[in-house]
Amino acid sequence: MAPDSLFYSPMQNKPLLVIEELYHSYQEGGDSRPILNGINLQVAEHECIALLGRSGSGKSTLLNMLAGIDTPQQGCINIMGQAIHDLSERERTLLRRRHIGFVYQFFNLIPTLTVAENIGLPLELNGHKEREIKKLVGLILSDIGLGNRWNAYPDQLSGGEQQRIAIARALVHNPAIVLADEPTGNLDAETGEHIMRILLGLSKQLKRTLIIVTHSLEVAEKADRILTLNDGTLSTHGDPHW
Amino acid sequence: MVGSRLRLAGFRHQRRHAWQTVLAILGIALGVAVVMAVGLANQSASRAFAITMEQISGRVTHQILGGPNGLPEQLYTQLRLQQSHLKSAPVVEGVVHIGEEQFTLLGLDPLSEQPFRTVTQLPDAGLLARILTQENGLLISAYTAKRLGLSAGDQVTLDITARTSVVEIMALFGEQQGAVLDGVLVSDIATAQTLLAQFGMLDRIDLALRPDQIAPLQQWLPKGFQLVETGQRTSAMENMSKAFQTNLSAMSLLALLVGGFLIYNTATFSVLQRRRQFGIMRLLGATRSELFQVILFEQFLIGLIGTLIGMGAGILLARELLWLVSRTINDLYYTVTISRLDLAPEILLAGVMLGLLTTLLASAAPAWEATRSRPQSVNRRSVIEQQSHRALPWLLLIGLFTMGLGLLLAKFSDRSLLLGFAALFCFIVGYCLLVPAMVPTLSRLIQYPIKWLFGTIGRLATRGINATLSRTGPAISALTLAIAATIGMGIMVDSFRTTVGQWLGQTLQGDIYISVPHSSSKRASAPLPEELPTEVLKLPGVKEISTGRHVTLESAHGPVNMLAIGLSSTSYRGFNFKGDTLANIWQQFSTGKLVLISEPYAYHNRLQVGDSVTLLTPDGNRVFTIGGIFYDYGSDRGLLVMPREHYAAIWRDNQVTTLGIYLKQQTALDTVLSKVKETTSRFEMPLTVRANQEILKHSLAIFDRTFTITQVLRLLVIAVAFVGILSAMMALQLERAKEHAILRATGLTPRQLLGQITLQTLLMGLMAALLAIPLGWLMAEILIHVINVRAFGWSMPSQLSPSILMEAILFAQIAALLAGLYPSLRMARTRPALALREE
Repeated sequence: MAPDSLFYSPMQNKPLLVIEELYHSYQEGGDSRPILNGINLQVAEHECIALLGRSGSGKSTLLNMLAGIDTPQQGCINIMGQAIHDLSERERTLLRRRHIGFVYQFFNLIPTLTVAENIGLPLELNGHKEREIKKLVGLILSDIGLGNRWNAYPDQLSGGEQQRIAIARALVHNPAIVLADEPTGNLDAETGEHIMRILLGLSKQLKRTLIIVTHSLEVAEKADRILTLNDGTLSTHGDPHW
Repeated sequence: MVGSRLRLAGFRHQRRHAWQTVLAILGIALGVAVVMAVGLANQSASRAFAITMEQISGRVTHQILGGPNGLPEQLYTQLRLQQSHLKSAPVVEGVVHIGEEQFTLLGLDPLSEQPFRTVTQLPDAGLLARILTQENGLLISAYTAKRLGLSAGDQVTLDITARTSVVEIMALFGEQQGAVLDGVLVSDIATAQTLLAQFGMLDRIDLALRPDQIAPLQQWLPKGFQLVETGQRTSAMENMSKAFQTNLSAMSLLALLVGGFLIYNTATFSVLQRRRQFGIMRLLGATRSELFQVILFEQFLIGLIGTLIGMGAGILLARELLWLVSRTINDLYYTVTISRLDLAPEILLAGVMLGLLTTLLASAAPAWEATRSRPQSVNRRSVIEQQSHRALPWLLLIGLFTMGLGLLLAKFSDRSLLLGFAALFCFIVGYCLLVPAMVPTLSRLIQYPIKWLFGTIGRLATRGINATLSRTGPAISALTLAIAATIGMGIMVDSFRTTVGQWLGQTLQGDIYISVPHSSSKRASAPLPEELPTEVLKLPGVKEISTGRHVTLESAHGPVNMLAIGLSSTSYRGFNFKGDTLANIWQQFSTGKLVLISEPYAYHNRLQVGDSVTLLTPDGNRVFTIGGIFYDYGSDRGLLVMPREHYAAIWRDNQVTTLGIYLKQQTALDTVLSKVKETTSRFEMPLTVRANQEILKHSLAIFDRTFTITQVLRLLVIAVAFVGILSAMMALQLERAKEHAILRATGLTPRQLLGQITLQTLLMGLMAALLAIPLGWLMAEILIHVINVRAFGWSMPSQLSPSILMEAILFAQIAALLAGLYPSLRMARTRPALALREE
């Protein structure tokens, strides 16, 4: 397999995620605007991929499809051996609950839950016992350096702190894949750098597969592979440095 | 099992928006309170009547009834002698007053009572001897005595047919029965006959018959008397007030419907405010059913708290409504004393179920909607509005379908009152669904004049309504419903009042009327002195007189009110016939072959001109042809009219109950009035002398009194609606905090922002008022032409009074302004940075 192939995996691990011939378009007035035009991709376990592209190129759409919250018009997404399009809405939700973590540009924390409750929510949804939830939340809070903000509400935190909580929430239940949609897009350069360090560090430490959508080449350069989505097609951007 | 953090997030949201939650609880509490109060008051009235009848009737299976003056004592003597094997007891029954309170006086024969009633079981033989021998002595129920602070040996003054009699309380009875015998006085039959001036006459003979004894007794019974089953008679009496009670229940349900709307609004806003939150939860893996359960459980708790508060408030309100219901039933139907609220478990349970079901039904749609939202739409606010606008054709379709269903129900449900109300509710719900679809069109229509008047602020205000249709739509619908209810009920009561006023004006052809103030008899109004008509005719200025005799007769359709009239030359004008009459109606009427029947009597008994009615006369049953059906709003039970001379000959009753005096032209009314009063004062019994206009005024006062309870319920519906509007407006304005903060950040001054928000709420009020006019008119049409006809048998033209519409528009504006004021002030004062950060 050639090193620039989209099916290339530097770690040569077994594929965790396989995308085949993915097509999707949006209706704009009477016209159809293709957004994904035959996407093929294979992502290995523990791999980190950065996805670049212009605004409106379909990066977030692709991420939503990987999370099973949007469905392609054509093509197949296979996560951990399960074809998403064969799953019911409920099964897709359960797959997302167990195996996928999400980090957003705008944090998306639940304003009426405390820091600990926000992080504990995926664990509770996955049926963990309360004692176990407390333990895991405590561990990850110290990992992200916010062990003292246990009972704070999101609106009492800075943007960087909120994003760290969002990262903790995405990773706490040990998902196989973490999807991050412009996680530093709403933060200053220094904080963004700090956040990326935490996200990549934790993903590496916990051996998670990470897919980051970003506009920043600097952020992308920290990934194993950089892919660019342009005119609905995916291409490699260059050799990974990290 | 739904996670506690999902629920916790919901509860904290409710706590953060406590005012919204409190208003929702208040709305459902008010709705439940009104339904429960009316239900408990109705139930207490029915139960008081049923229990009193049961205690009074005891083991009575049948009754022998006579004509308008009752039956002679001799019949009872004959029965005892010739049918000695039958268990029978004579009864005299009348109405007396102690102060302002009305009581039923039962005259019984203690010696014959043993097989019938336990209430009259006497503790000792000495008392029996006293009851039989002492004049003006009676028994009073232990409950009533305690309530009035009376005890055995006390003396009380009874007001009987404008006379007073002082009686002694010999003993108390019914200690075990508690309040059920409240309102009943018992005396020896001879005492009752003396007090009620029914010498030698009985009201009925009670019997306890085996099935094989019925036919022989019917054969034995002389002509002019009737054997009737007790249960049949009791239920016929109770049915009289059923329509009135059904109407009250339906009105109370309207309050719950408005309350339901409020719950829907609150739940919708609560869901809309948390769309983002639900989206995140969905992203984290919460399933649709888990979210649905979370929202529904949260609303269920709100409903439960509201329902429990509503139950408490309902019981308190029921105590207030009880006397209004009892007064109306006493005014219009039969005597019943309801001194205690009957907390019937079935009504309490129905209140709980209604409160919770309304909450769950009203919240189900927003909860379902929240779970249908796709997680990726979290960041797209426009998606919500796009969805709202996409839903408009569907709402329009469902609304039209529901209204069509209402039309079919109204047209093809024959005479069913319940289906009539179902039709009304279909129209209301259907129309409310149309409202959001009509808002964009109205916005477009008003945007240019508003922009011209108010500039950019005006444009922002109109655009805002349309752009946030998901929020403004339900708020305008709620306001529309409340205003429409005000218009609908207003038009109905106004049309009714106008019609009754016109009818009274036409019916009261005489200039002065004389009658007896109170009647003690349940069958016939108290008669005037025999020589009074002749005395009045002699007075200067009197041209002629008309006479009337009001009695209750037994007919094939149960008891029926009869007015036997001696017509004056102009009395004919007092009758306004519905449809055609038989040819030469007045000529035939004067021969005594025909009777005229009132519209309610014709409706309830499905009778037409040319049909016949069978009446019990002293010579047995007699058939009369119906010559015409006249409009009459005096009683929903119906009335029969026949010439007095023929009535007197058939029923051997020459007495007169009312006297109408017609004056010669250019005679001063006041002069004759004082002469008539002078004449009547010469008689021992006090008589009421009233001029035509005074009666009109008095009757309309009674009309207004009857509708007091309707007005109270109307006010309660408005109160629930106002809470709904306030809740919707506050939620709407606070939900748009960021939009307002952006406007402030862009350069809008606090005053301009206040102006924009106030203008917007006023425009919403105006839209609601405009949209409420057709619905209010439609509600009035159904109330007048479907509900009133089915409930009471009255038809009348509807009258659209501009003042009612003006009031409604004004109310909408004030409600919208008040509801928008607090959020406007709050938003105008909020620092933009804070609002932007909160978002």
